[in-house]
Formats: sequence, structure tokens, C-alpha cells
Amino acid sequence: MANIAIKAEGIGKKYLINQVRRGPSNLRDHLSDSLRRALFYGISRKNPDSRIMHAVWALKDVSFEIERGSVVGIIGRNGAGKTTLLKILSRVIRPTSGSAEVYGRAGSLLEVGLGFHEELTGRENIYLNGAILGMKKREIDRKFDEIVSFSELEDFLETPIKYYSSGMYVRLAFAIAAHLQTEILFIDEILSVGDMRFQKKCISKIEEAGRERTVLFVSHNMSLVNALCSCALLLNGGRLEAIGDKESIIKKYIENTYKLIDTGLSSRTDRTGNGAMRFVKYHLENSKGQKVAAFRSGEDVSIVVEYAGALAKKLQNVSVSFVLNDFLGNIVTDLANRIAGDIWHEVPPKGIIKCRIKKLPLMPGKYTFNAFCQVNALVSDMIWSAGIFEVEPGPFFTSGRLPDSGFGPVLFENEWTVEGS
Amino acid sequence: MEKIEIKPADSSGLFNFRELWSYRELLYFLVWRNIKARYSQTAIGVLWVVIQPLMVMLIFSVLFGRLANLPSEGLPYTVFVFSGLLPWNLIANAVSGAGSSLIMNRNLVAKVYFPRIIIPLARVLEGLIDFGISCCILFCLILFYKIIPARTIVALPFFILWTIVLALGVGFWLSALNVRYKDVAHIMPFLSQIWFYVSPVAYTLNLVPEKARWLYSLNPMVGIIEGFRWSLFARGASLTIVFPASLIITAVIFITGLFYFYNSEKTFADII
Repeated sequence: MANIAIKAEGIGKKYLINQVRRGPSNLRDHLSDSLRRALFYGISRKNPDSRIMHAVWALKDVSFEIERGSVVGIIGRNGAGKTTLLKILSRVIRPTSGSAEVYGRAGSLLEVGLGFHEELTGRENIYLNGAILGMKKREIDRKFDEIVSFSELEDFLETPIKYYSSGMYVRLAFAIAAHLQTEILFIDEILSVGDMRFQKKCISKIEEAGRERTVLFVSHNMSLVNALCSCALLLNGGRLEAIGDKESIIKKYIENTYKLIDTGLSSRTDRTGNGAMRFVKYHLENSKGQKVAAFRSGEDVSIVVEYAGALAKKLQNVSVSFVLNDFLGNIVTDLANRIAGDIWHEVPPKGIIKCRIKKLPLMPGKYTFNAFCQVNALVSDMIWSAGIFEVEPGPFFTSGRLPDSGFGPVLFENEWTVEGS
Repeated sequence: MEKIEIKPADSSGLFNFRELWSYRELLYFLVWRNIKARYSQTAIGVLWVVIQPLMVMLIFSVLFGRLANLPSEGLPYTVFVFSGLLPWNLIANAVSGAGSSLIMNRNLVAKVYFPRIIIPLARVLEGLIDFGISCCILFCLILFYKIIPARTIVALPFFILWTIVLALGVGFWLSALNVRYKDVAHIMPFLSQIWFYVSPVAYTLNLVPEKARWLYSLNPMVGIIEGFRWSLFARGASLTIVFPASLIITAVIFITGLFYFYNSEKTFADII
């Protein structure tokens, strides 16, 4: 067994979900809601506010072995059980069934800056957070200078962190996290915060450590998994779908995503939000308003999404965003009405949202988008990989040519001149 | 090599003292964090630890000592009431502070592993700092009134230890209950208030009819407070019934609290 770091046998986790219907938010809504209910459903109908307990298996029958020194990416869509698995292995929660053995000192990073106290200084929080992550005081003493220089916060060590900007806060948190050097490390999807340069720094720290340590990390970003991991583990609906060689697992994950998108927006259950507004379906249109199956680079195109509100009344302060990803899950850009300057104070309870993109600056390939909407500052609907579109070669440049693939996903209009000097 | 076994919540596990010991530094940092955070940005800082009990003592002296003229075993009423407040504050801190400690540290419990018992433990230990300072105040008062402490004072550490054990027991019970039943948060202020009045902080055990004393002593604070007064001043009612009753109840609260905590901690992160 000398070569095994983690061994899981039939791990299952059952949650009893207390399904409470989200009630109306204020008294007026409450009264009108009750009246409507009485009128349309009759008084005798069972009160929809009543609680129903039902069991959900967040994980079921998950068994695997992980070799010492491997870096494993845990992938799967939202609600697949990735974080649950990580929490069980790091002993934060207990499984309902099954068992696991972890060989070696283990540490977990489920959240950065865990236990930070805003009244304490940067220096004090390094010790506090370090201790919470399981480091010994002597270990922190030894790594202190390294952590400080990694965080680039030398001048703010004696400042209470409540005066830190959010960027500084994240940098301090990551600097400590990056120096957690246990033999086994569990990392939740935390690398998605922080600026790019700093992310890279943390990733290279993991890479450097990966040679002697076993790392399990959750990620939605397939190119990160591809770059960092030696193998991957794919969860689907709480079950282990596959484990092994990263290329084939990533391929499987992408296929799953495409299949999922095919089921259509209205039947998607892997969504979060209060439901005040929901996406129902989407299609793609070209500049003439015709439905198309694929876009072409350089065309004027639209993503058209149908939505419906929960109640038959106007929706207020609506913001919608579509986050474009390339096929590996790298974010390409965020399309949002607010950012584009189109503020919607009030929209009809049902309708069609059209996001027009002029002269599509994307390279040929497959792209997915996450759909997100907010009503009155509350998240109403959020679906990862809500839709997909393919971009075919098109007339972005008058030459009709495009860069070779492998030179990034975006296109810029550019003009060249040359003059003698 | 270290080997960690992960088993379902219904499997039995024993109180693991060795593991708890290996997390002693975390315990230290949590106590230190709470104290640091409590007095940061206050103008007079740690002085509050001195001012608070002194103010309470003054109010009680005026209310109960002067106006109600309650007897005080021949001691100056201020000294009398302060010697009762000393252990009481430690318990009151356990009820309100330790009771809500897990909920206050919800994020830690849900996001990282460590023996959960460290959290109420840290809160009780935090109260010990205040307790130490209050002890100094008491000795200043004793000097001020030129009272000569009794020889029985050698027993004082025992009563301090007793108070800590009770505080821990109460802290384990309430903090664990509070995770499952949010009602506990509403009960705690009442509990604290009622407990105060049924404990001989402001009055003496001699006011309680002799026949009812054994029943009264089922409140473990009776044994503790009377024990404090007895060891400091060798005064007070006969304690032959009081001590055994209070001691047994304390042991019951502590042991059942520990068991209840260990049984429920496996699901804390699921429901907190």
C-alpha cells in the first residue's frame, strides 16, 4: 500500500432537504400572493409553504484509489458532488455510507482567508489563518518571510485587514494557502478569485509542490486541469463516472456538457437562483434575424434567450449576463447589459432578450456560455453552460483569411502601415 | 506514516485526547484572536475588564446592600457580592459566549477540519482571562477593607477548577444544542437571568430554609459560590449537604455534555 495516498470505498452522502418554498418578500406581496392562491387554487389545496423532507444523495458509491504524488483534477458540473467529496476526504463532513483512508498529513483549502478577522493585522492573520489550516506555529515562523514576500504586502503587515482592498485581502489569503505544505492537499475551486498574475503565481506554486505531494483539486476550467493534473476524476450526479488519464476524462466531460445543453434550458435542473426570472430557451440568429445553427467569424450575430418571470408582473432592475467560455472552460468574455450600458429598470414579465454582437470577433471553434440574471439585486437564475454555439470561418478580415488555430480565441480588427524613415 | 480513517457518522468514535492535544496551538490562537478582537479599537481597551465587574458590584452594593439591606455574613457587602460575582461571571460567559460559539464560528466549522470541541473550549478559556483580572480586583478589595483571608484559602484552586468544569459542561451542552436548535439562542438570556437569581450571588445561603437546602443545592452554582466564600473568608452556612449535591450535578453536566457534544459534532458541518 506504500504507493497509495487515498483510498475510497463506496462513499455515499445523503442529505435530507427541507424544501421550503421561497415565500414572498414583503407583506404586500404576501397578501396578494395569498389572495391569488385562494382564487386560483382554492382554499382546500395543500399549503405550498408546507415543508417536505426528501432525501438527496449528493454522492453515491464512489470508490477510487489515488497514487502518491499525483495531481488529480475533480471535474463535473454544478451539483455533481465535487465539493462534497472534497469535504468528506478532508473530514469536514462524514459520509453517510462507505469509508476512506488517507495516508499522510492532509490539509484542505475550501475557502481562502478562512477565519480571517478584520480587526487583526496582516501579521496576526497570517498566524491565525495558518493555525486554522493546520500549520504549527514554528512552521509559520519559518515560512513567515516567504509568505509576506509572496503576498507583496510588506508595507501593510501591521495594518488591520479591514483597511485592505479586496485584492490585498485575496493576496494575503493566497500567500498563506500557497505555503500550506501537507503531504496531501485538497483544494476547492478557489483559484478563480484574484488577479491573473497572482493566480499564475499560485498555480506554479502548486505545480512545484505537486512533484512530491498529492493534490486533489476541483475546477471548472479544463485547461487548468489539463495543464496541472496527471489524472482526473469525473463526477456526474453524485456518481463517479470515470477516473484516469486526463485527456479522455476532459473529453468525456465536454461531451457530457454538450449533451446537457441539448436537453434544453427549461428542463435544466442544475440551476440556482430564487426563480423570480428564469431562462426558458435560446437560439442563435444572424444579422437578418434568421435562426442559424452556427455563427461565422465577422458576422453580426445575436444570442436570443426567452425568459419568463415567476409572477405575472413586471420585473424590476434586471441585469443579465452571458459569460462566454471556450470549449475548455476558459472564460473569453462577459456579455452583460449593464456593462454595455443598457440599464433595464423594468421589463415585461415574459419576453425575449437579444444580445447583439457586432462583427463577431471569435476564432472558429466551439463556445459555451453561462447564463445569469439578477432581479432587484438578487440572483434569479444561474446556469453554467446554458448554451453552446459553434463559430465557423467567416469574413472577419477582408482578406477572407484567419489566423491559424492555437493563436487564442479572439480576433482584433487591425490595420497595418509601413513607411520609410 | 499517519493514516486517517474516514467513517460514516453513525460509527462509534472515542474521545481522542491525543488529537485534541495536537491542536493546542489552534486553541491558543483562537483564544488570542477573540481577546485581541474584543478590545481592538476601544479607547481604554483592557480597562473594560476592570470597569465592568466594578460597575456591577457597585450597582449591587447600592441595590441589595444599602436599599434592600440584605445580610452579608458580616463582610462588607461589596466584598461579599464580588466574591459571588467572581465564579458567576465565568459561568455567565459560558452560557452566553460558549453557547453561541459554534454558531459564531460557522464558517470554520463548515470549511475545515479540527476537533470541534476547541471552539467552546476557547470561549471558556477566554473567560478565564477576565476571571484572573477579577481575582486581582477582589484581592485589592480585601486589602482595602483590611480583611484577613481564612486559612481555607488553600482550597480556592479546587473551587476554581470546579467552576471551570461546570462552565465547560454548560458550554458543551449549549453550543451543541444551539447548532441543531436555533431556539437555544433565545433561551440563553433567560437561562442566564434565572440562574443568576437562583444562585446565592447577591444573598446568602442562610436565607434559604434549611429543609429546602438540599433541593437548592442541586443548582451547582450554590456549591461553587458558597465554596468560594467559605475558602476565602471561612464564613457561611454549613456545607455538608451542599457540596456533594452540587458536585454530583456538576459531574453529570460535564460528562453528559462531553458525550452529547461528541455524538453531535459529526453532523455539525452538515446542519450549521
